[in-house]
Amino acid sequence: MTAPLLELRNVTKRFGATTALDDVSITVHQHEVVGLIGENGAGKSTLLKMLAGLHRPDGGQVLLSGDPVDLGSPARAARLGIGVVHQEQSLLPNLRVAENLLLGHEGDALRAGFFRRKRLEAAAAEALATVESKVSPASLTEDLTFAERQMVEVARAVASRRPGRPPLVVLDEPTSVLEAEDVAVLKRQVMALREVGSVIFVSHRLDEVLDFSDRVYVLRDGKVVGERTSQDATEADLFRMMIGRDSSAGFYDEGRQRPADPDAVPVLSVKDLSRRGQYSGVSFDIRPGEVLGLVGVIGSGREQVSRAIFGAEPHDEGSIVLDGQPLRLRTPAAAVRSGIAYVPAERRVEGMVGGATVAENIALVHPGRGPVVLPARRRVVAQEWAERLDIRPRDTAADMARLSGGNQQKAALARWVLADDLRLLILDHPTRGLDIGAKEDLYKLFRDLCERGIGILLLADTLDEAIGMSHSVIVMKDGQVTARFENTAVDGKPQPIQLLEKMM
Amino acid sequence: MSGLGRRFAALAVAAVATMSLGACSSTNSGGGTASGQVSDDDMIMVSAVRSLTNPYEAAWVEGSQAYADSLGIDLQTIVYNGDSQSALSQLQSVLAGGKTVLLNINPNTTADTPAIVNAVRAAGGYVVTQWSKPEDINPWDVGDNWVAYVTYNGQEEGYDTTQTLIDSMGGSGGVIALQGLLANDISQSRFAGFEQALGEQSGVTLLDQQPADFDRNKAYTTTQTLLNQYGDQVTGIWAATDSMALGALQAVTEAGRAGQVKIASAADATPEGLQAIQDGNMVATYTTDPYYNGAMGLALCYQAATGALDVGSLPHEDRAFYVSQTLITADNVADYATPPTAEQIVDSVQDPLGRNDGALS
Amino acid sequence: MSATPVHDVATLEQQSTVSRPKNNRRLLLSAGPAVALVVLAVAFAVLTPGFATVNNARAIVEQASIPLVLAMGSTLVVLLGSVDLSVEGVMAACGLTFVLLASNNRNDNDLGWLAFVIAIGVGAVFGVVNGLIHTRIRVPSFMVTLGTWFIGLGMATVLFGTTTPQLQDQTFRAWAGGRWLGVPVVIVFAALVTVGAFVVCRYSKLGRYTYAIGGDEAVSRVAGIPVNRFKVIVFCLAGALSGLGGVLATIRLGVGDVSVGSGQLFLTLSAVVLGGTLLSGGRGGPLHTLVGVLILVVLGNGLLLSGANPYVQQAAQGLVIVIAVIATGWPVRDRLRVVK
Repeated sequence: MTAPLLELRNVTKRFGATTALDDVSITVHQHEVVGLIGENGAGKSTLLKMLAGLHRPDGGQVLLSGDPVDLGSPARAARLGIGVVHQEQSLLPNLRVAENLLLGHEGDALRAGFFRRKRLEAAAAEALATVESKVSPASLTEDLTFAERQMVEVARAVASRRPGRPPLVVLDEPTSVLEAEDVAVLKRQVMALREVGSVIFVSHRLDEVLDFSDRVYVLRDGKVVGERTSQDATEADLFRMMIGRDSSAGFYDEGRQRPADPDAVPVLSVKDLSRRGQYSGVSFDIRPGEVLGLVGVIGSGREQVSRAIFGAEPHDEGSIVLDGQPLRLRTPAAAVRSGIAYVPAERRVEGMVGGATVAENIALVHPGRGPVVLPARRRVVAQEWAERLDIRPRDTAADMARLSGGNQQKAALARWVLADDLRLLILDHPTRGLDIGAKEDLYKLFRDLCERGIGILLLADTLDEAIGMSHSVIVMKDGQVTARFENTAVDGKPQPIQLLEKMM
Repeated sequence: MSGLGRRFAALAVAAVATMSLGACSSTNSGGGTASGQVSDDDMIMVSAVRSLTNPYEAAWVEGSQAYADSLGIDLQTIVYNGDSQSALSQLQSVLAGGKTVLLNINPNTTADTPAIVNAVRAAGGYVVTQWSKPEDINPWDVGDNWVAYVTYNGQEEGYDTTQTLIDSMGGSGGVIALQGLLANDISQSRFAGFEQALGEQSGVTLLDQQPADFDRNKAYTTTQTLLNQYGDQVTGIWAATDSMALGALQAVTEAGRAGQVKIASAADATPEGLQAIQDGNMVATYTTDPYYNGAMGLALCYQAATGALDVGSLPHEDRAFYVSQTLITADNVADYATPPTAEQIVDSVQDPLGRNDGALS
Repeated sequence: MSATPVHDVATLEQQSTVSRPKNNRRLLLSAGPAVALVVLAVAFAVLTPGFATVNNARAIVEQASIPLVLAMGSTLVVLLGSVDLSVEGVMAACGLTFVLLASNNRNDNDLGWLAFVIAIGVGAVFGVVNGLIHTRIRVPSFMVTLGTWFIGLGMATVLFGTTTPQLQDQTFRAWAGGRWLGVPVVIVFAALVTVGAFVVCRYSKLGRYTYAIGGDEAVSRVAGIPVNRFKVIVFCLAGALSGLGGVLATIRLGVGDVSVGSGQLFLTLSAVVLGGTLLSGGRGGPLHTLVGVLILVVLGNGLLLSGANPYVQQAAQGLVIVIAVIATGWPVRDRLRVVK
């Protein structure tokens, strides 16, 4: 038997006082797809960054085909045949697809420091063809959709393989932004890759992990807590290993969903809201303690409506009434003063200040009474929220950018929820990219807020989430409201297919 | 050095800390004799200029140096690079050194004068300021420590050089004028002289006038553009300084019209400008004799400090006045082609009021 | 988990509507300044006699030449997401180095072409120093280059001494106003530099990596690009071009002058930004800058010819720059509003 393609022996990695990886040993054989799962903060990202050559282990060994190696830099890792598709987009929007694909390893597409464009595009087209992407190598990356870019990233990881050693491709959450059809393409691609090398597949979707992988490792708190072959494992097994307890019933915490008081003054009342070319005649009410789900496809106008309510985009006509007070919000700052909070989808862009500490991020919007921010008070408040939301690591002095995605989202939420005068919370895909444990924590938090009489406008990540969480669901299509399902807590929940019909 | 002098000096230094002004002016008005109040050993000369990359001020500092060397007194040169704050803070460090300061300064802006003279007065030093001061403050209002304010008649420079330019053009044609910075009063007074000379005749007409900010590059591009616009109509160019005139000369040469377009500068007499006059590329410039300017201010201060000059009894026309200056044309350019020797500079300021050309108008 | 993602139902048709506005925006960003230039030129041609003449056109191109040489270096640095403020200091240091090494009236040097090469080399060294301090010691580029600006001026002041050094090398003196193959020498240099910068930016590894680094430095590093090395190279090129600009300006003046570059920093940086190269890096390029430089030179030239009151001219020039910058930024305004 030949040596495994990749072997990690007792690898340890620390960041200050935090041990991100603790004595981790993992083996990846040739022609094998290995799944890697774990909650946010379990150490998956650190492990992947190590394989990408971005972090050096503090202890232990990395062996490729039996030889100990030092993955000192991204370039070196790529030379050794490791291609990583990162969770965060890592394409340069201002370059062409072909340039992005071969960035850093152009090979013979470069001669004397100058590009041979034909050769570059031919090589890129070849790489794109292996993932069945129809994107033109000459198009500008920023013009691609999210899913198209994801396929380009996968193609790039494949293209970085070097002859002489079978390639090892690491896919970090590749499906979180892909559509079903693209996921199938990805599956075919992964199977094809298995013929020539090996794949490490990281995902939050346990069903997909089982579907894609031959073997699965489970990480928790920086340790390997289990290893299963896919045939012998069930989703429930994996969940238990990952969370350390059984999956609780009532994922959306529906038991705590109370019908809203129909006579109460609505927290938010929107009437005939319109913006030329975007949406028109949108009306709805949200009563205290009520969750209203707004669903629709991209381009239905629901994002624009939610942003207009927050004052981040203008609207042409219609009224927005908050607690019976008419409101003409021109800026997000005015919205915050009025008691509206907004948790955006793309937290990397809008929701957080990377480089600031967790405590600073949490205290950013409502630094406390008066103009003075007392660091001591900030720490106390932040600590309280970190515990309540189970933000890990619990170290509130850590750099926000260091946190895993789910924990970043929790911290971004905490920042808004802190406000005593919060009336309305707008959640734009609050759970996108989060693992199950983190989602459950967030759903509980939303129910807590409802009990405080806060209204929630939810732009859900999935239809199930919209249905599970909401008291009312409003469907939008092409800027118009096409259906309303109200008082679902009492009258029964709609089925996903009912919503889909009205969306299309 | 007499023992008496030393004692006086010690007294003066001690007095600086408490009542400097009173001590100095009272002995002054008591009728100083040839023995003086301050000995040479206790003096330091200071020459303060905007920059050393400007030929005028470089020559000024050379003049100061020659005079200081002739008396064996140390000279400190302050270069403040167009920064008023820097000028004042450097001056204050010299004043804090404890010696009696003899300052000859070209202030950065008009508004700097009060701060400078007050600082020198408070430390018991002597100062001559040149080129600009606020109109409503005069040396006699401040006291004997501000020995004199001297400046140069810009209107005369503008007028005389324009006359020469008109003559060289044969009394007819079109002329372009390049001013310095619009807000600069010296530049304005030179331009007033230019307009006066132009107004007294009718053969030469003004085609255009533009500010070129004393900048050689800007003068070059402005002239290039105006030559395109007015073409052969341009037969003369008047500029407020040599460097702008030389920028214009470059543009004229590139346009292939050297010699056809006469060029006059209203001031500075830089080595390059003088060379251009010798070569026939320029017709005039004006000299205030920078070596003299640099030495004369120090000479006035020195004589006030030693008591050779009784500042308190000088008439107002010897406290704020124009210094005579000379028009340079092809006829006399040879006299200025070589810099003066140190002896010549020192000789020229034996009577520092010798070139008084009259009270300010 | 069997949740149905909402995005599953997004169709290809809808995806294309998402990407179209971006295309328009980009078009506006690159075409806007060019349109502004044409509008400006037409307006002056109609309103100002003497503007639309062959001689004036030549004068405009000639006046744009040295700023173009400088602005191309500046463009590369800005594409990186950095900024080079040392232009004026490097120009002065290189100009004086050149005069004092070529035949001049201050010393007996007469190195000819070698003086030209060494002077530009001095500029390159300034650039390398900028780049090394910026990348190794991790000081923001604007701080480093602010420092080297004054180091350059100081070095030039020392070299200047007390009397103006005059250039006496007849070969170089002939360049001022001289022609090569019928084209004024400065224009030849400006054209070579502009074409060179265009080719580098469009086709070379150096250029494309510059865009990549400006697009996202962290991502570029992950892709294995030796970011620091490329930054130093770009700063070196920018320094060399500042040096070339300084030498050309010195040749035109015929003398070494510490203030040879005065005003050039404002001109080149505003030209780069006006042309549509974003200060955040990664977008824009040499052609944008060409348009930006021409806008500023045409503006200055046209206002001068218009015979407007000089006081009004300065204000008008500032006003047009502000309007042009707003117009350039308008298409991305909406996006900016929601970004933060």
